Amino acid sequence: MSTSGTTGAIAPGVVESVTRHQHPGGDHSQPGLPGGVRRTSSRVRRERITMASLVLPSIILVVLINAYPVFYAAIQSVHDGTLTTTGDFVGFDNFSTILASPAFWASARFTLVFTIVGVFGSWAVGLALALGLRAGVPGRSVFRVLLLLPWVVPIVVSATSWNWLVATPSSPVPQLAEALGFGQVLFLANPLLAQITVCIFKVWVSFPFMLLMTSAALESVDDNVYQAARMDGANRWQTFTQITLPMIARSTYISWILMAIFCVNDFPTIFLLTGGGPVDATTSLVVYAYKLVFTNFQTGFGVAVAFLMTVSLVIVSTILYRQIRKAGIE
Amino acid sequence: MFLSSAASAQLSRRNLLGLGLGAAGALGLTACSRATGGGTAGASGGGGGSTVAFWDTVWGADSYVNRAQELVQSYSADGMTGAYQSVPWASYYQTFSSAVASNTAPAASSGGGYQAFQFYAQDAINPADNVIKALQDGGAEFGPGLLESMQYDGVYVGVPWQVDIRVLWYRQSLLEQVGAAVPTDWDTLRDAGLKLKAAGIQGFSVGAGTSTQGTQAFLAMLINNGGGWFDADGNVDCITDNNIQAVEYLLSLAKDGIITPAAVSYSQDNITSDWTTGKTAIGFDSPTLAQNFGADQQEDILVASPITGPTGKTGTMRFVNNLMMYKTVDTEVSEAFLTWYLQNMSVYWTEGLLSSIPALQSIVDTPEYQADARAKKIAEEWNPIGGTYASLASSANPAMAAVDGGQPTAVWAQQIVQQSADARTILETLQTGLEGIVTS
Repeated sequence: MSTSGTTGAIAPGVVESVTRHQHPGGDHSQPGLPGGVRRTSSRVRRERITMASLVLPSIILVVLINAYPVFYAAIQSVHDGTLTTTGDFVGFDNFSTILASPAFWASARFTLVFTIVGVFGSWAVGLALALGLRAGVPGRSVFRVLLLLPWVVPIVVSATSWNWLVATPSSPVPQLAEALGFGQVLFLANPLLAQITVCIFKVWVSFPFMLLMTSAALESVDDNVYQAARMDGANRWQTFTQITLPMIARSTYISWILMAIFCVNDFPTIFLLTGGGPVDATTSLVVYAYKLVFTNFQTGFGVAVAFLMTVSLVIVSTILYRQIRKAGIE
Repeated sequence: MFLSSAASAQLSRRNLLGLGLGAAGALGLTACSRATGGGTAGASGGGGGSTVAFWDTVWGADSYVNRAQELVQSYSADGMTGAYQSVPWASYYQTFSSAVASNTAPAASSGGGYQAFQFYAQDAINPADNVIKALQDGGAEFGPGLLESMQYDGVYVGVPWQVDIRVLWYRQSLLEQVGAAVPTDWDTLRDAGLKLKAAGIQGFSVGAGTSTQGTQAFLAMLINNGGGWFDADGNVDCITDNNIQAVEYLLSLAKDGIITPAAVSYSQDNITSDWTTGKTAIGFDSPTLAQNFGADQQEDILVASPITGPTGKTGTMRFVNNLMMYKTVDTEVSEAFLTWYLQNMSVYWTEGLLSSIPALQSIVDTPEYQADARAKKIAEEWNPIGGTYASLASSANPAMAAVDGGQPTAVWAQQIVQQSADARTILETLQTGLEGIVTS
């Protein structure tokens, strides 16, 4: 199953060759074994060349689009340049400076929190709504469309709306909080509240993606399984934990990985709502890198941060994928 | 099936590959032909003659952009015509930097206040001395201190064309409502603020979130007290007695609630909204602030005269916005265009398209400009006392580009609003932050 993606194209030829080898007299169209094998090998080789030729332009394109920026960024990360000049070679000074910076670690901590809340918060909401919609809520097709709105609406519009809702003392949500006796609550002015608000905003923006992923996974679960579980006396919780979650596990893990990547790389959600403030409380690594490069013009430092982010993401993603494969989740 | 079938399929594959290669070739040729076209960068040739490209950041409403385009396109000299490109402020620096790096910069441009210093240091633009001399030979007179502020390394790196300055605005009706006088110094500013605070109105407008207004307002107060971020030699010098006194005063405004604690996260929209809805009565802002008010409120939003700090000094901060010439075209071509542009840009003010102060005195003296009482007051009373980010230094330097909107100054403003430390500690943090970006 898992090999079909990479070797499926040459598999027919190989299978054919092996079959002829095992049953030399089976193919009456071939005059004799040695010649037939040679022709088959030649055809396999031609097919491989054809496949390679077809794939080559895409590979060249991907290399050109991805490799050059990565290569150039690698150069920038070991220089003290600006946006227009390469600057002097400084070795790994940028990396050591960044790793010794408290601002970097503060950004890393917030990135971690933001990612964990973003992934699991949006997954929990998306899963709950997907289960609700699957349960046969009246007008669910309408709800399904409405629930996608946070994801469909441009992030600039969403951020502006949220800003209007919470930013000033006269905004609706602080007014409501005051009316409920909580006093003057400034959601974006207090560092902790700002972090919480940004995380909730991320969950709100992201849950439709999880809803889609989870709904698709739930659709693939056969109803007979649930009927069998009911006949065996399983209650709802047992059905959820013993059947639903395991059967959508592969899709869940993949959506977690994707959402983790989205969260770590998320710039507009944070920047448009708080600009990374107050006092850098909501500055994630990607916002930190942006500020270093585009407001402080410290290109080397900023690219070094981006590199560290990328390496971390690759490591985490690789580990998670291996865990998925090791666990044999299908 | 397709891959393992016979001759006809082989032919199809060849055809397919041939088609792919052909398409790739066609795309390559198209790309090459476009690459030699030149677009609107620099000065480019073409079937209908050559063009001089001018890139302009968005200084006003659509009416300004349309008028600027019309003006630039009317340029015609030596077979060259003007080509206009509007550049949004969002990511403007990346736009210009990418153009410089790829040698596709325009002949001339406007842009950030300190962009010219940085690009000159990077050998991307030409000195503007010849343009300034040509204008002066033609009788042009620049506003006070504007030319000096553009000097760097013995040359003028750009030509001043307008000044964006922070002036003290107030809502007359709100001051009358609480029985406060128009502030003339820091004590009367506090008195008015306390009365306004008691009525639930902000007495000192600040936006320190995604807006840079708060940083600029606080710097205006530092300069107002004879201080600033840099000393006369252009070195970072934040921890001075005048600065400490100013930050202590600002901290007291925050402590007394005259500055709202919510300001730490304010965007420009939040600031504007508070002004127009009567939640703010006093504050430093740009000359464009009045444009946000309706026609029925125009009589109510007024500009105060400069206030005096405890040291007896006056002052505020300003951006000397300038035009620069890139090295992508012949110097004579860009100089001729820029000289012409500056000699003809008065329409922006005579037609009421810009609220900033024109750099040329001849435009300030026009009847149309003088008819606007607020603009006249800003030009006459505030412009002469304006200082740049360079503060006590008469001219700026390339490092100012990083200071403009940079992280240390934003954090500085947020720390004041949050009263997160005493004045000296906050200034020490700023000193360290500025040294980090200025010297790197």
